[in-house]
Amino acid sequence: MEGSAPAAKKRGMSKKLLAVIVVAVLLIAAIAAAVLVLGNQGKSEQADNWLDKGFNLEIFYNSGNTARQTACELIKSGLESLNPGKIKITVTPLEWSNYLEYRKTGKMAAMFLGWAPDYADPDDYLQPFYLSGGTYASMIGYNNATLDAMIAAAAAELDDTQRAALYKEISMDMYEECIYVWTAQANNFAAQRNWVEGYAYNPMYSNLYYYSLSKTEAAADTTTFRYASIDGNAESFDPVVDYETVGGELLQNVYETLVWYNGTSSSDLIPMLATEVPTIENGGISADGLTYTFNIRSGVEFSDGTPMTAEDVKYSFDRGLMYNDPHGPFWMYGQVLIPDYYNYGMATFTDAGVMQPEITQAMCDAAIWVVDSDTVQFNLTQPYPAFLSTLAFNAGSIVSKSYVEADGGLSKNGYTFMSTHMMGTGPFVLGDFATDAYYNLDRNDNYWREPAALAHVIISQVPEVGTRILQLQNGDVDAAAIPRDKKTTLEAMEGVVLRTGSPSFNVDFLGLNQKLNLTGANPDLTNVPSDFFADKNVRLAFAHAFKYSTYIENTLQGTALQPNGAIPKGMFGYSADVPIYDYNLEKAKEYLKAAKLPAGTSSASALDEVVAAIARFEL
Amino acid sequence: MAISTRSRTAASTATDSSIISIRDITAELRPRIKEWKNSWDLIRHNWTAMMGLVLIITIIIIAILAPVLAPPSGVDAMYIPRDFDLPKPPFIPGHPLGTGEMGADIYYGVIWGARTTIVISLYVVLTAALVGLVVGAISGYYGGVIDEVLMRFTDIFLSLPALIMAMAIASILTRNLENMMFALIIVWWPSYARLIRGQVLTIRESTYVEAAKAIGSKRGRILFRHIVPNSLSPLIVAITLDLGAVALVAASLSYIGFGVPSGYAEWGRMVSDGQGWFLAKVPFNGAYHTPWWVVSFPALMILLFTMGFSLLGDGLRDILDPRSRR
Amino acid sequence: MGLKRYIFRRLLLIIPVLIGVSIIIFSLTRMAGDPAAAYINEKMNASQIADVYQKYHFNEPVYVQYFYWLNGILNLDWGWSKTATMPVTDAIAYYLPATFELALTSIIIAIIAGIALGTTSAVKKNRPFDHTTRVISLIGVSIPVFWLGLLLLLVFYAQLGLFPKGGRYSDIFILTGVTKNLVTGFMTVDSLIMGNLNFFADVIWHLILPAVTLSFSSIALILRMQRNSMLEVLHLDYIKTARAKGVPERAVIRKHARRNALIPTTTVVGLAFGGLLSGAVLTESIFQWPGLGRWSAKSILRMDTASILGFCLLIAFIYVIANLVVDIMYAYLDPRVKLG
Repeated sequence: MEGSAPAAKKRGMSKKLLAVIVVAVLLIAAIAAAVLVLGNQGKSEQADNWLDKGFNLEIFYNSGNTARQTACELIKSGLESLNPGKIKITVTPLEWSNYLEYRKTGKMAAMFLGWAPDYADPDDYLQPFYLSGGTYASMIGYNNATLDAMIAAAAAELDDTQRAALYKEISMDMYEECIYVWTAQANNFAAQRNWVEGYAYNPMYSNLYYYSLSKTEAAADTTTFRYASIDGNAESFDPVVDYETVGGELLQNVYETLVWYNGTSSSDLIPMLATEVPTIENGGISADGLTYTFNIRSGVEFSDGTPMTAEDVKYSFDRGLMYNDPHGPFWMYGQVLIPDYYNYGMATFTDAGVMQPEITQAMCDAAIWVVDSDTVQFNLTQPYPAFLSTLAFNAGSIVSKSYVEADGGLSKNGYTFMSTHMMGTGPFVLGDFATDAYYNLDRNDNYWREPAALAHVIISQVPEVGTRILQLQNGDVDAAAIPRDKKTTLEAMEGVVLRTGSPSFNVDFLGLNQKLNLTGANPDLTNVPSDFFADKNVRLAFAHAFKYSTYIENTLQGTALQPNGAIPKGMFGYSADVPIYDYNLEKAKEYLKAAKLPAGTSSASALDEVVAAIARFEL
Repeated sequence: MAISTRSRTAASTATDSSIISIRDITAELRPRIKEWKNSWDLIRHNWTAMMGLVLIITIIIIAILAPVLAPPSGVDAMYIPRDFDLPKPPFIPGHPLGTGEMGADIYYGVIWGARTTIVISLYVVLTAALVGLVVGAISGYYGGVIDEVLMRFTDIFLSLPALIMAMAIASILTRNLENMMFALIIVWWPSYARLIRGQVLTIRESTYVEAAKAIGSKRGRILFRHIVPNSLSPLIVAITLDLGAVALVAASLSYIGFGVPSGYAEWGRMVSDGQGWFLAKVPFNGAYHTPWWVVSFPALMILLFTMGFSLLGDGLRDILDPRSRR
Repeated sequence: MGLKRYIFRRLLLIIPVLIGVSIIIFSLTRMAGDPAAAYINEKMNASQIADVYQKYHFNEPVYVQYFYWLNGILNLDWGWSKTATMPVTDAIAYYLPATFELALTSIIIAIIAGIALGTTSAVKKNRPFDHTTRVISLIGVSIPVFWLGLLLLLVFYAQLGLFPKGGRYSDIFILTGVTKNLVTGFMTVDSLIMGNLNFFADVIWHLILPAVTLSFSSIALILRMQRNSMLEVLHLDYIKTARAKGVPERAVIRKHARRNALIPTTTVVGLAFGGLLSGAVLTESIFQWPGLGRWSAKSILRMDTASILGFCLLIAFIYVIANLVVDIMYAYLDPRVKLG
């Protein structure tokens, strides 16, 4: 008890002492922070170009794609060696759809991507890459009115020779501008058991077209084809919504289009649900290139037995145009069938589920006419020679009107229903399916051509590459998705054949964002201004800092070639005269040195760092 | 931790003469831990502990000598040099342990990875264990409302999936090593808290605690002098097992895009980077090889690292807790 | 306090935990980026974007958004999982049975193996058996899961042909239409409902390899815990008394020691099972298992907020229930522990 008073005093003293210590520590911390910040500021004010100042930049790729990851690492090593310590590249993986989200918000400074065309026409490259508002052009914030006019002129040109010349001119200009870094055009790469017959690679297919496939007696089970695919679900089974290859593969085997590719050729179209491919000579296409008339094949039935008519054809296109999903593929028809197409948005639904389309039935009726029960006419708003190619794409699949109408038709319920159901005229019908597990296709015995050789197809999702290798090796699957860097594994595997050598139309590229959205950007990862890539010198530096030969020979194991621009080899409009960029770090340095800093960058960045630092502490 | 608590007990016993006899009884009932000096003798004669200690010290020496053992060439020494070619088998010039994904030098990664792994594992596990120990002990001992509140708080954190916490923290802060460790601590401590609480629940009913209560020891004193030290043995087991587990969880975070980036010298990351090569075949000198070396060496290092702490932990427990020695 | 009252009180206490979890996750997902980004695309004009903000209440303060979300949760409208392309509630109903079956099989294997090996190791302390299990358990926790999984596949599927290639059932059941008649999603239950014993056997056959792969780390954990607590129990007085009274050694271990040694082990089992239920990305990937692990990992990577929130609530719920069960078992096994 007696000791309590001095103890209290003691406690009071130690409190004071504590306060003094805390204040001292805070002061020291503040001084240290100030010194650090001022030090940084002093350093950053010296340089006037991006080579000497250096920069932090985040480069994205979609996770799981090891080839693109390597591509990122290659450009990282190239760039970082230009000014070691000052240039810092961070490689960040993103899941595919997250990639799409980031892309929409413009938050990626640089990203590795690949483009697979929807239809075999150069316009399907120039539009997304260069036309203002195109898929990639908008992602990287690229606008060029002159170029827009050139692309439009080329797309509408009816004379092939002149058209090819126009594309060559664009390609040459774009080589100079260096908007993208073109890294590789892949060859096909299909790992199959040697008992698989009838494989014909067409660069326009979504993976496999099972109708032509069969298995020899060497296989234990000759009627069921098993494919071990990568992890990924179809977004939708509805051809007016789905716009990716997992769903695309199902669509191309269950549904059919008016015209289709002839074997391995992407440019030679054959009639499918039409009786002949319209041309100007046979009168199917008007001389001005504005009307396309199709005679619909009679005697074709949907797999439920209802006959396919011109009404079904019109209905299929109407429901896509009216729904007009901005994420979906119907832009390719809308842009030539609906005047001022890009002014219209997606349909909305009332709470009761009634559709309120922006593109109305009347507008569709003006574009697509049912002339008689087996004739359909499309009225284009402008000449578009690529229109026939677009009709071969999955989005042009003919759905059964009676089937859709029975399950909701053009209403919210109808579209929801069609996202999980399929009813087509194709060689297969959809069997059972399970999310994250498998899709099963069964032979359509009621098919209008010779029924398929395969009775069943099972496409199973096998996320782990090691498991796919084992299954293929064991012969439990007939084909498997194997990454290209595992080419030697396939060569060492008995009973397995690697089908490769034909160029695909897929191009890999590095996108450079000219209008970077820096909202929420972390300066440790990205500290460049939003118009960093608007400077051509920066883009050229990037193009020269990529080790193309290593990427193609080592990473892709020689199953690709270096593209010279957006239009791939084998495609109409490709020109071998367009040069390619070489890996040259000296040139890259020169270009980066020529890229001057915008005025006032240095002091602003120091302030940003302080703000960012404080923000981090608060968390 | 346990050691320092012990020495303080000894000092206070000496000064407080009036109740010495009862103290002696509690001291008799309570399992005693020898002084540090004696402990060292015991460790020396405990072959498991010695083996563990040797393993750990070897790995620490590797980490310290990394710049000598594998001189860095790139901008950042923590990134493994790569030649972007197919994996090459071990025991070839320049690549003593072969190369892996993107032609990364396995030897370099194994050496420098020692640094990363030691930092991640020790930092995460020890911090989490300390937090868990305090929360669990207080909760288990005091019971009632305190227990209820602390345990619900623990439950909240325990119920947050590790992956999601790591993701959220990585998205809000930066994707780097420090934030990954921070995320791991946040998801790791609650399991220690529950473990300790369970242990304390049992021990607080035991005779020596009853005796300590009988002599009027303060609750905090009973808790941290009597109960906590005797609850440590399962904690040590958990820690030793977790030290390796953290390295693997860190790897799985890296694998899906959080944590350290690809190519960083971290054993777990090297394992997940090399995953695709496990059943593959690569040609070298005219023959096909299955690149077993890509995953095996970093995985072996993780195993040795875990084993080192586990052996040491077992040995320590035998020494610290004489009940299991008898 | 009676057991019923205790359980009731604990169940009530789940509510604050779930609210805490949801608040934390909700704020984290809102901090991690603009939640509206998922609903906006490059072709939308400003008024359409404003509509999106209006429709999903993104223009309101975070706490108001939270209450809207909470309201949805209570009305069983958990939102749309873009990752699974179905409503979140449907996704849980689809993935949880797959994960539950796997986790249960796995924990059963782990309990049997872990307790048996742990008890024996303690009895045969510092003998070769003890050292061997120690090394095995160490390998069990430090072995990369994918390596173990692929190795099991390589040996038991590819080389010996004893087990299937992966998935939850064989192709034949897809082709014969059996899988179109699933009711609960628990394949073992569904096969019994259908009375299809072939299907049941097939499902069990498919469960074994992934369950063994998944159980490895739990075996190690349970084994070590059981060994340690067994060692402690074996030196307690009542064991000595039992021995002194001439109770046979087997009975001492089985009846007296093992039961009491199980107490700390119970905690580990409960927590390990809770952990298994949150899914295992790598095991599920290797064995083509459509479970919670793959779903959650993919949702996280694509910032599928609705899925993440739904998943977190589910996991939080599983954890608190697992803990409750652990506590009750504690009281059952150790009469000294009072509930409450």
